[in-house]
Amino acid sequence: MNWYGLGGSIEQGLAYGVLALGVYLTFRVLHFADLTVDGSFPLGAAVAATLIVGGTPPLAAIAVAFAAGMAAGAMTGFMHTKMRIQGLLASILTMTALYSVNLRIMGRPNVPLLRQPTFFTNLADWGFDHPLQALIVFGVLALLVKLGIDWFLSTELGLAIRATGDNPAMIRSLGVDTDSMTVLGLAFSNGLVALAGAMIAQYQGYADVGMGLGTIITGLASVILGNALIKPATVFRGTLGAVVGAVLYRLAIYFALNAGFAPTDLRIVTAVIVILALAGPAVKERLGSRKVLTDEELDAIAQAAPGPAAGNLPAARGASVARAGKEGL
Amino acid sequence: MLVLEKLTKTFPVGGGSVKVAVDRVDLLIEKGQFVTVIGSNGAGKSTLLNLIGGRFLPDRGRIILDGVDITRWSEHRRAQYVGRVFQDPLQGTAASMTIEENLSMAERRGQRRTLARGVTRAGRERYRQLLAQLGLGLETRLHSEVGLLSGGQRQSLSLLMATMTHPALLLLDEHTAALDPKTARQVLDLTAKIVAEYGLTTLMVTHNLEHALRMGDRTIMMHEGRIVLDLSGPERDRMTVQDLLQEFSRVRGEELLDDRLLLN
Repeated sequence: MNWYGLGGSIEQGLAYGVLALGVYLTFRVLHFADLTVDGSFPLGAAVAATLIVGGTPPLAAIAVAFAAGMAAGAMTGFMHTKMRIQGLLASILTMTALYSVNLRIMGRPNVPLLRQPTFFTNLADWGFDHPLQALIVFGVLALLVKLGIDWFLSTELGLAIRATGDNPAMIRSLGVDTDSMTVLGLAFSNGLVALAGAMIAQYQGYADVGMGLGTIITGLASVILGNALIKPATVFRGTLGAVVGAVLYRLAIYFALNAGFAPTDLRIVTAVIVILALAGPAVKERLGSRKVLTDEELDAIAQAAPGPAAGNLPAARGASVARAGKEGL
Repeated sequence: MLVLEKLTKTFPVGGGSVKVAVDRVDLLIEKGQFVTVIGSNGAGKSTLLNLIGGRFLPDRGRIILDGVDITRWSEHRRAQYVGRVFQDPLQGTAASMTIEENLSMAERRGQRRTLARGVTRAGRERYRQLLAQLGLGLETRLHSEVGLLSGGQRQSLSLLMATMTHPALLLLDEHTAALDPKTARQVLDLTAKIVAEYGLTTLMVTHNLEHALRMGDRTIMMHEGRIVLDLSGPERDRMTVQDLLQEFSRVRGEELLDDRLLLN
């Protein structure tokens, strides 16, 4: 373990924070397992790298990468909502297609950015040159995107997107076209993922057609890890959790490598982390159900809570029990 | 005013056969009229409401609301004019969102969603006043997640959300059936109060004959997709639950016997 490696992990974690925020939007807000990101992440990298090599200013290249990611997300959304293809499958289809698209954009499997101007060299030219430059850039970027999402999800449009993920029938009955909301959410999410791809390509100095592999797992691991630590009761906490989780995830990998795992073992380490985090609630429930409440405990609970009038019971799915109480025809 | 003309909906029931769920229904409901709808399971009550609400499109016929033909409108488009409360209290609200967020979404029924702030300070004040009418203490819990509320509270909130923009038509699909009797009564009282206050044109499906007669000013009975009884005025006022039951057996005739046989 050394400070340099640790600092690098945090730096990378923040860089992947934007990716995690994109995944948060689909996975947590829309409840959509979106594998498009495995294609839109390298798409962002490919677009930005190719444009930069072609002489486009880095900032403009990043903007175009964001737009390309949005288009990819919209494609998945279109397939899902208008062609009625299952969400997961639609996203796998886009991801698969994007592999070819990315190769077409780059014209080869790998575009190096050595001796090319990047957002980072630009900043250095503008006078911001510091050993912690990348850390600060990614930290500020993750923070801005996080606050941007917080704001967006509190607007009329954002509320409608959240309701689309929570209860589509309800928000449709309030006059919102849930198909549009799904497409918009997926587009926004993949735009952010492509933005992360564009930034990371410039950070690591190349775009590679294979860099998208496992993006969704990185994103999910971050969101799940972060939300295990910071309960996503509100959007503010949810997005905070995604960024914190992205850093934690990088640190976990760093420690795993230090503990003697070979880099080739990283994927299985990641998978195990995600499995453990996802299995957490089920395991807890299983362990919890072994405990039998005593009379004293039950009395204490009954005393603490107001009288269990039927009307105060939490709403239960299905209405069969209550149906017994009415005059039937 | 709601006009239904020869409204028809069929469903495939497997084996290539088709069930006519709603069969050439003609109905005219005056503005401000409160109509209760009764009928046995499978009579077509819910299908009728779903047709009017736009969950699915009819195979034939027209739906005209306040002079506008909305027959082919998508569900979300007609939502601008039609408020709905469903049987399942979980269906009318977004559980993971707060009370004020749910209300703010309902307040923009049918409007374009913009990047303007969802819950405004002025809005919060309006929601507080609206919620205070419920007498459930929800006005102090604007930031609470709706998922934490009881079924009755959620259904009351759903009712508020369905009516707060005074829609041209209110559809209630057994909206108290999933509640215990006491809570059901509270929600019904609230329904009567809101409908009267805003003068809403209302269609309420219920399985409870007493509620059907006590609420509103007109009762229709459906059977096999058709309206077989249409009561209003003094005739309806004289009706008792017993009369209604009798009327019901008369309409169903032999089938009731079949049901009994099946039950035995």
